Amino acid sequence: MRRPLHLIALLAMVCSLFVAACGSEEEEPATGGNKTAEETPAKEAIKVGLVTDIGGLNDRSFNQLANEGLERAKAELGVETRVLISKANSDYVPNLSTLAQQQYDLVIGVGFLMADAMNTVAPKFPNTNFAIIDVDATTMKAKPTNVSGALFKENEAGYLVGYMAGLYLKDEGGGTASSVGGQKIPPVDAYIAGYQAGVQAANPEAKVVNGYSQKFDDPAPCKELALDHIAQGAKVVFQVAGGCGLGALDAAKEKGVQGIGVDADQAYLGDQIMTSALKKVDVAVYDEIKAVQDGSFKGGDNRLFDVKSGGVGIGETNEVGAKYADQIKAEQDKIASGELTDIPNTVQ
Amino acid sequence: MTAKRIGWGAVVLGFLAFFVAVPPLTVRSPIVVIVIAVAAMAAGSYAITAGEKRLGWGGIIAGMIGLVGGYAATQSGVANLERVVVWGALGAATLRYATPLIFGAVGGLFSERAGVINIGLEGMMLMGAFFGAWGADVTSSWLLGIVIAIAAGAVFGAIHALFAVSFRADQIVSGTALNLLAVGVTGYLFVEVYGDLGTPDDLPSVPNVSLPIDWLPLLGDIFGDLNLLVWLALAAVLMTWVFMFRTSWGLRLRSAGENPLAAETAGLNVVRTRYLAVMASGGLAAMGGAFLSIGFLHTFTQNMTAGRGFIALAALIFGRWRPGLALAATLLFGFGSALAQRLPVFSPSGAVLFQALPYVLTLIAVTGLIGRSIPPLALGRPLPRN
Repeated sequence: MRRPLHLIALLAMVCSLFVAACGSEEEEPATGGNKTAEETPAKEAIKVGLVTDIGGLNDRSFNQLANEGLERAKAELGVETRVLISKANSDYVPNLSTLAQQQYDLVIGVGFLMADAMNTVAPKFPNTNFAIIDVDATTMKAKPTNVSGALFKENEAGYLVGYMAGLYLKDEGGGTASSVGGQKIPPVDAYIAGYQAGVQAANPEAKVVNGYSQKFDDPAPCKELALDHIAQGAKVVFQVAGGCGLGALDAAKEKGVQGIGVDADQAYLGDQIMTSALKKVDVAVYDEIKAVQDGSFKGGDNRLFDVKSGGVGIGETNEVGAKYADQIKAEQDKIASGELTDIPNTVQ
Repeated sequence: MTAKRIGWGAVVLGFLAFFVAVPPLTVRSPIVVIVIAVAAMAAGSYAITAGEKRLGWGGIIAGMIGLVGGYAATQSGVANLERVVVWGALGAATLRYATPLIFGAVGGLFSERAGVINIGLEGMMLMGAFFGAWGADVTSSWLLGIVIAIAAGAVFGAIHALFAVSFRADQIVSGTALNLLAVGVTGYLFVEVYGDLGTPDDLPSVPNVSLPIDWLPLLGDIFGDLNLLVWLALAAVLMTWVFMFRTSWGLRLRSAGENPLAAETAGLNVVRTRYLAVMASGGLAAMGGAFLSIGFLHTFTQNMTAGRGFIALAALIFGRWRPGLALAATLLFGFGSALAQRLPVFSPSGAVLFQALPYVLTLIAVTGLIGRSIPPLALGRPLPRN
């Protein structure tokens, strides 16, 4: 029995070596950039790396949008791309460093959760351009001059969906508007603060209830929170928790109340989705890549995405939400024109 | 005998000190809490001097918990208390949190009682979660979804058995490899089959069982509308106990885990027994995963089991490899999670700390009430060669 087993193991190891070697050889020509570079020899293809946060590529919101932006840049700008998926918070520093060491022209970190990692890595690679979503590059501790922050006015998007929720509660003759957050971090709180302000602006009598699941990936705690809020009389549930929040929207479906999606347009999740608060991470990623390519990239500074620029907004509505389309449009115009400015971005 | 009774009395008094301070009793005077808690600790000390050391310490610790918890409750607002301590909702949430853990722990029991360490429970659960959703989607039947989930778990169990039993590999290494494999396999298939939009929103789901007991004050809220799989999990505990300790098959399975050499000498096919046990283990753990995907959440997301397999294993060890105690352990974890989720009402910034509550409760229970856990004798040891 002994010898054949060892032989099999050895054989397997040798085979895997071959497969690995073949695999990497095959990958090289496949990375679209080279071809485009040949077609347009004047412009050399730049290399762009993207590091996801722990939500993973298929979170159906934040990271997935970032990847869509990257894919679009690959198709339209002919850049060479690579994505590293982070499985744990401890992966951020190695992932960002790996891409920087491999001479990528632009390394994009997706999300506030890797602010500290970016602060550590960016100063060590002064010749690499970095971009980070949801972090203010001007307030980073190390003051890196090669990092561009992409900031979103989540509170404006939150306000719009909150306003719709408030109008709905008014027609229902009262009730509570719930929000289910992931962790208490600035981009999440900005959504929730805007949402609560929107609810109160549309319907001063409406009550709000808010909770944090402490998770962005596991949907069960978000569902429990939402069920709890619905039991307390919530008629609208706004999820601000990425993949975890899918559980909150499932609770809305199960209990027949309205749900509001976040970041991406989540209308496809079912009829219970009244609307979604959009945050166009794809646009931000694309813009940063484009800036590096045409030389207008500016480190140590931020790009701002708001209602006015179309960087945040409101998504598709269901039948219930469609009734309020005109009123929401009016609010949207007020924000865009600068008439409405004092939307809070911290939860009190 | 009397010392034992007093020891138990101390434990009960300790919890009573906390209980009087929360709804529905909501005693507002801290003195009542302090008196009861001190009585618990006194009774605990008496039990220690009378020889019941473990129980006595349990009583003292329960008294301390009662004192701290009860005092904190008397000092916080009634409105907050009433939002946090809704026993009916807490009970139902406890059962929902516990269900995947119950399936996992019972599954682990089969494998480990037969002498095979199963740290791969997490992977088997994840396989069940994906294949449950996929099976239900493809066949348009939640029942077949569960069957397919069980089959996927059993296949994973068979792989574990192949390495751990036939190839005599290190069982922890084999189990860990399976966990990593499951993340890869389900992640790949999920993206490959469902792409960007995820599982369809009309995924067939396991129905809830509505019992006509709404009028019962507390039990109605807890048991009135539970998922079928929650009931199956509770039934699985009972059936496992009957199987393990009241049938000859169970005896054979346990003998393979206690003294495989003797069992083999007596004519038992230890290798086959262990194979079947590990496959049953995988099937049961997979049902826990199926509860998550098609029972509770109606969707599959990557790595959605989020460590529940490991917690189930902890519950099994904490429960001393016994079905009833393991159930109690999973319920304690479940209750801790359900309570932790509500506590941020008092202090939003403490929310992360509250997440540790189930584990703190476990530590206290392990050191206080439960003695040393003694695993099956041959756990982790492959059958000696001829």
